[in-house]
Amino acid sequence: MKSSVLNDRDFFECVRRNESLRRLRDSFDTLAGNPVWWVSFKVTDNVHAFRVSLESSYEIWSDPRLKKFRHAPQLYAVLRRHGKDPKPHLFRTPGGTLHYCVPIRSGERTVGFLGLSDVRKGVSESLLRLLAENLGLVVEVCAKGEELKRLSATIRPRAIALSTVHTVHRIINSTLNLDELISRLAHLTAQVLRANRCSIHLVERPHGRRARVTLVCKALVGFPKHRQSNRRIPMGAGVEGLVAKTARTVLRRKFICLPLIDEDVMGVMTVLYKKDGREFTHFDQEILTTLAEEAVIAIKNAQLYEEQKRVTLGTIQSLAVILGTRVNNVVAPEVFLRVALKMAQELHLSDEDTQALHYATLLKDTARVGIPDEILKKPTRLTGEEYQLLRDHPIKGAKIVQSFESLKPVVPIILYSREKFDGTGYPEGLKGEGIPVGARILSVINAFEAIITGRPYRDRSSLEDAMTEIHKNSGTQFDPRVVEAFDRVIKREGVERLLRHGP
Amino acid sequence: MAPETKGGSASRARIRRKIMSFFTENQGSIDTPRGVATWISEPLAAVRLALEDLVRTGSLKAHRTSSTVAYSCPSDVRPSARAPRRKK
Repeated sequence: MKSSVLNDRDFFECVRRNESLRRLRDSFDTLAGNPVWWVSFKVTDNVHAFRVSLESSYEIWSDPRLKKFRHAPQLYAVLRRHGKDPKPHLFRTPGGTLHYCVPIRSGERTVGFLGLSDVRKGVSESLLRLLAENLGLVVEVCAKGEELKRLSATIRPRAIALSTVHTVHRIINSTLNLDELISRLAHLTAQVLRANRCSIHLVERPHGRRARVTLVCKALVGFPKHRQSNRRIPMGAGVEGLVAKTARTVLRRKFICLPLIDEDVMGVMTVLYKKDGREFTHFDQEILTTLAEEAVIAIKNAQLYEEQKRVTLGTIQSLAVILGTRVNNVVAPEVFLRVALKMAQELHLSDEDTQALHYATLLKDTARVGIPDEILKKPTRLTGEEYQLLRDHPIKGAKIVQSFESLKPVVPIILYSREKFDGTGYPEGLKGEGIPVGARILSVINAFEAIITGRPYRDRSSLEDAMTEIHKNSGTQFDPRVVEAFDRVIKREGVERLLRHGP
Repeated sequence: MAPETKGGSASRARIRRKIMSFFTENQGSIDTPRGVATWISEPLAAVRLALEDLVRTGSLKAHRTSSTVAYSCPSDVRPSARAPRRKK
């Protein structure tokens, strides 16, 4: 096998250091009459170099005879004559000493020799042929080993790069939040390409015939702070605009700008300035292209998910509006929604829990559809039967909501929104932390709304009265921690003004 | 850092050195513990511990998601500090 990377010296050294070469002597030494074993790099004009090369054989076989080797000049002369002959040859030097010399070949070239001096007279040719064949095997193993090293050196960086791309794919696909995804993508891309800067622009196609398609900047990494995000670039303008228009990658020494293509161009990704000051290469472009392909799928998924969320929210809002028309809302329901969401923020709820609370606040009165108007608008106290009907309304509301797969997390919030912190509520008498946090928040919101907007059988009250009432029931009806959060939100968010003028 | 036995300490230090050497040679790499363990030919469990040690000392950065954790060299991207100025 031809070693295309190593030069002759390196290849010779590789064979010389091979353990099998040392062991070759163990197998053939006695049969060959205990000769002096030596190796030498290919013969050059320098006899001194040949002598040094012969002496280095001592490192392999530790034969003291090599220290006082007399045949070097004769061997040098013979090898100078037959150095290019690929076949092994048996020869005598003046004085009658028998030598056997096998060329060490790398491809078509002789890179050195293995020799035996003082070979026993009458040694069989087949034995010497076997020795030459064995040396051939050692050389072949060395060549294969070197070839494997070369392949590994070529493939390993690519395999590491691919593994990196795969890891990036896993990281960016772990979120469906588009802003978070794009921010992560920009940071990871800068990291992978070892670039100082990275930007991601997405194409925005506004509705309307005269509206212009633009690129909107969604993420900037490593840019000066004064560089605005949300900057718009018209299609065809600048490098990014040109790449988006032509759908062609631009590779320059200092940057790569590449289109994100789904069915059409959906954006562009740009990396600028390598950290080590070097130029961007085609290999970098290849990596960026693979990252971009992964990114397109992730961005598309996130966009679809956000679209689905918008549709769900729109449906819920429509339902809430329909429900709202059945009762006389003196305060816009958005005010209570806003307070609920701020409380969720105050209590560090996760995005998923906050979204569920958002939907639950809008849908909390879904079951009103099943309560007759006479009861909903009855100005006097309710009878036991009527009260029971109202008590069932969280259960009915939860039943209505649970039929929607995407609203499953909302069900426990609505179902347990009438539970009390001390365990005296309904429908299951849950207590303390056993009540979902969303339901504990909604419980406060329900009470706040009832006090502020009033009920047919009870007049409206002021914000101060509502606060007093809620504080009074902290620890019994309401979770004290939630009441504290409510308190902070009311004081900070200017709710009094919102109650008067709307959001 | 978690307590280490004498032998374990030396082994962990050796793995930490191998990990840092890997990330120095492949500065753009971002990989999971399994990936790193493959590249440096060390047992996965030991590599996990060593990676977390290195994150604690600030030598590596962890990218944690709900399904996996990946590690990379800390990004030293500093706005305007290292990026060359554009020619006017």
